[in-house]
Amino acid sequence: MGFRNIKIYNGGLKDWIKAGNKTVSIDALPEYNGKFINADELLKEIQAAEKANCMDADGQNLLTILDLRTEHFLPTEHPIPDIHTACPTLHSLLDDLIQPDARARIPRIGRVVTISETGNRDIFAMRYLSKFGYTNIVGLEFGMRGWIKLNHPIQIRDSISPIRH
Amino acid sequence: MEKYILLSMTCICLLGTSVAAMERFDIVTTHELQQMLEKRSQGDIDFLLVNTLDEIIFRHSAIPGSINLPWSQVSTNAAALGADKNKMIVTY
Repeated sequence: MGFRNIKIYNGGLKDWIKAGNKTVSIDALPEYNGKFINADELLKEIQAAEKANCMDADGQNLLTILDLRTEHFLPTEHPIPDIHTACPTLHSLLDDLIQPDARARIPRIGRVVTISETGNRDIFAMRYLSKFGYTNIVGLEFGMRGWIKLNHPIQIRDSISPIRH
Repeated sequence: MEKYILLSMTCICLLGTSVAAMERFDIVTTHELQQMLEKRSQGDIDFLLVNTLDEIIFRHSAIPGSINLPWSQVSTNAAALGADKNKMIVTY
């Protein structure tokens, strides 16, 4: 793109606030007591759900993975590993959740587990979706990095299922 | 570390050059950014402060005087940065 004078404020919002500086808010997210599960707990939940073909007696999803990693939507030379599961996995940019048609694909019944790169952005997804009544969403502690670190099963998909077309 | 990598990727997109271009990226400290924003408000310098986080996060909380260009959109919405390729851009 040719921009020639780029600098990085590596401290970001976290350091900015820590230093006592003001921030601005256009649309503050509601407070929400978002919960996280760790990679071992998620593995157990996946295994339990898969034993029931990922559905409860009423045919509702027991477990859905909501993968919010941006890298799925960028050009890449290397395949992006996903969590290995037979249960549904939805791929989405965090900002896709702004669109009602995208949110409509997120189940309101059964567990939904958000996946981010390191677990830092999950809380924003939970807080945002709580505005629309979602109470069944938890985050994965330490994100995909934590999953891979424990050598839990991964898979490379031929294609992903974007939540928004 | 992840944040630095993402910011660097954004910068590489903006530069439109190779990974070797990472050597060009200066790091701005909190104190320096405070001073730069002060000078900008006085008209002494001009630069763009670009928040590369998701719009949902930006709207929730951002540094005053910044614009939002999520890094997933850098390649498609670079026009938001203007046409002056020499203008200073500070990303966070």
